[in-house]
Amino acid sequence: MNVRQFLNVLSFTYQERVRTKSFLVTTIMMFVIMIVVSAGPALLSAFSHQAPGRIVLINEARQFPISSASLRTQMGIGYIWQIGQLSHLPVLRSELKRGQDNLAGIVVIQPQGIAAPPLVTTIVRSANPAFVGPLQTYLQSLYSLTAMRRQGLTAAQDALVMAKVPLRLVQVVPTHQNRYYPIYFLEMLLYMFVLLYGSMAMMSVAAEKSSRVQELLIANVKSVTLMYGKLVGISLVGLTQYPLILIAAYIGSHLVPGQSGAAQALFYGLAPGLLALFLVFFLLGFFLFATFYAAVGSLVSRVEDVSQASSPITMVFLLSFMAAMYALSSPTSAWVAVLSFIPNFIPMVMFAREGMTTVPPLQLAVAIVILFCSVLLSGYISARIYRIGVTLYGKRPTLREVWALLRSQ
Amino acid sequence: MLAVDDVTFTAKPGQALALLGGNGAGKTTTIRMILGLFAPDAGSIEWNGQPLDQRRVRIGYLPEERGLYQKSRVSHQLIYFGRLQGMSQSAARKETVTWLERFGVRDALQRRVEELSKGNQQKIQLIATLMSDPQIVILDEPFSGLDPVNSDLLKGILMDLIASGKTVVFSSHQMDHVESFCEQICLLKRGRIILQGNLREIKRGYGRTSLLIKTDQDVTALLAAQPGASVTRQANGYEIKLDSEERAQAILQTLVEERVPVVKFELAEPSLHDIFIERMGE
Repeated sequence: MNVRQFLNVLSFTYQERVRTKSFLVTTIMMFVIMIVVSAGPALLSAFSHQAPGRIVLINEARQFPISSASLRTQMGIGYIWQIGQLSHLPVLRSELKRGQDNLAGIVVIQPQGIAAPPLVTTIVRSANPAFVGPLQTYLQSLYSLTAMRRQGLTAAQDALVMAKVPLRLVQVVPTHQNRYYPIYFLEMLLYMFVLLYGSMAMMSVAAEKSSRVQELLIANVKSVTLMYGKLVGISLVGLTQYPLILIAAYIGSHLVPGQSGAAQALFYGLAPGLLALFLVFFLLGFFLFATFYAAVGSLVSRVEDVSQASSPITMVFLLSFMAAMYALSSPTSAWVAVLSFIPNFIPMVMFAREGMTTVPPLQLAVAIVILFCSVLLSGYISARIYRIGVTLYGKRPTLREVWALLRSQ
Repeated sequence: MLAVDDVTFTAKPGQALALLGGNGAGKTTTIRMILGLFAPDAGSIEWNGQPLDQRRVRIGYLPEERGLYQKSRVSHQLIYFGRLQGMSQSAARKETVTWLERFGVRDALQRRVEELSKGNQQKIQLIATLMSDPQIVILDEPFSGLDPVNSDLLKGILMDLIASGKTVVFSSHQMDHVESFCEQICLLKRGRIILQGNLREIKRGYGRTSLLIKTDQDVTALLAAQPGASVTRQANGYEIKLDSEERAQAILQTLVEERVPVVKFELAEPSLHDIFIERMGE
């Protein structure tokens, strides 16, 4: 490979992309969309705090003294609790049905005799709202206390009976559940990068071939040099746009004042070591797929054929993304462990494993070595396909024909 | 599949060699082997007695199907092509301007290729081929799609190249262009050479067997009666293929005896076009 020519191809590819108007437009669009998307969670939580629902509680069981103040302290600040009269129930029901006055629910407590617990009816608009669980716990403890008092237990004995059993969770393989969103976000970045810039490389190869510029180029430049110059050039285009996406995500998540919790969630636990590892998987993953995309681009004669011809690669890539999503939710499963050593799954699945739990360093090293060798192999195969493909016009060759040509060389 | 078989020819500096042949004869494949895009299964390609190293010897190549980056500016891509051919940035920039001026398209420098006319795009393509001052110039169908003015412009440039000692190899099936400046020919048919050598000698070998007669009188019957002659009537005369040069004298004598008013009586070597048709038909 000729380094000078490689750099020539690289810089031409890069400049040709970056100088276009469409590059400017897509970059601005990505920036704006990213700000909106990353501000989303913070905006949602800000709005949901501004508009808590109103719940009217009608208490007919006199033996349970329930005040709106005690409800507020026991149930948190999510809802506004009010005490109502049974005679207002029909009016309240129709109000609830029409969705008036921010009414989220009606709770009716009716006695069923001295010795029996009261009947609690919860009337809501449609879905099961969040307050039902805590309300039941609160009323349960209230009933238990009243019952114990009736049996003659003292306040000190009350405390003894009602004391909570402490629960402690010990994970043998610790998982970092609070890193779910940051890791998900990074996986998404890799996924988009491969799809966007892998197909950009493929399109540019196919366009060069269909416009016959290729003939002029391969007379002067080795196909390997040409292919890698192009791939690195286009990956640099991506790496020019990506920092802007990250900046947009940062700005977006800090945009809503007073919601620093949501902002922190997006960047939680992203230590430099983990980010460096991500960069390794990111670049190797990109080249693993992009070399095959470039090879496909070299095989088609017309740009229109590109998307159909590349669908097998896109399928394989999609599969590894889906596996990564599974790995995020169950990072310690045996399946995930197996997949994290299969070349096309390594970049996303192994990173998901490392992000959500802690993978033994040896396993991590083995995966990186496997991935690195696969990238070299895919580069070698793709360069050979590329060399054949660029001088091949007419009908798109079948896999079998490509294989036969590769062997005959 | 065998594309070319047992093809041997020599191109010399200061001469043009034409690779001729019908569609699918193996011209482009032969050119691609010279460029090192395909490796021949057997045989070699040599330059000055050494195997040709495409990285050492500058080869200017004009592909049959013209291709440029449509969206890219002329200066940007010409400098890129020049750099890929081993030129420095400044030399590539300088040659780009010089060549554009030579072709009279200096104002195309900062234009996008898609804004240029087809003829001008071909000039840009040719500049990409020649700007690095290559020792070997390979042109695949250089005349296809050019109008007469641009055709002559290209012919002039090729003459200059030959005069300056370049080795020019080109393929064509436009025989009149080939005839006007080409010394060596190599005729391919289904991947094999069926005729090669110096064009003048080849023609001389055929003898003066092509006879052209111009007359206002209808002499079709008279000529048809002549032995060893196949007659084609043309718009203002007759074209006759003779099986030997001597037949012409007998025909001339007959015409004089019959008192036919002859405007033109020309005995010539067959044109390359005729030779091509004859050899390809075999």
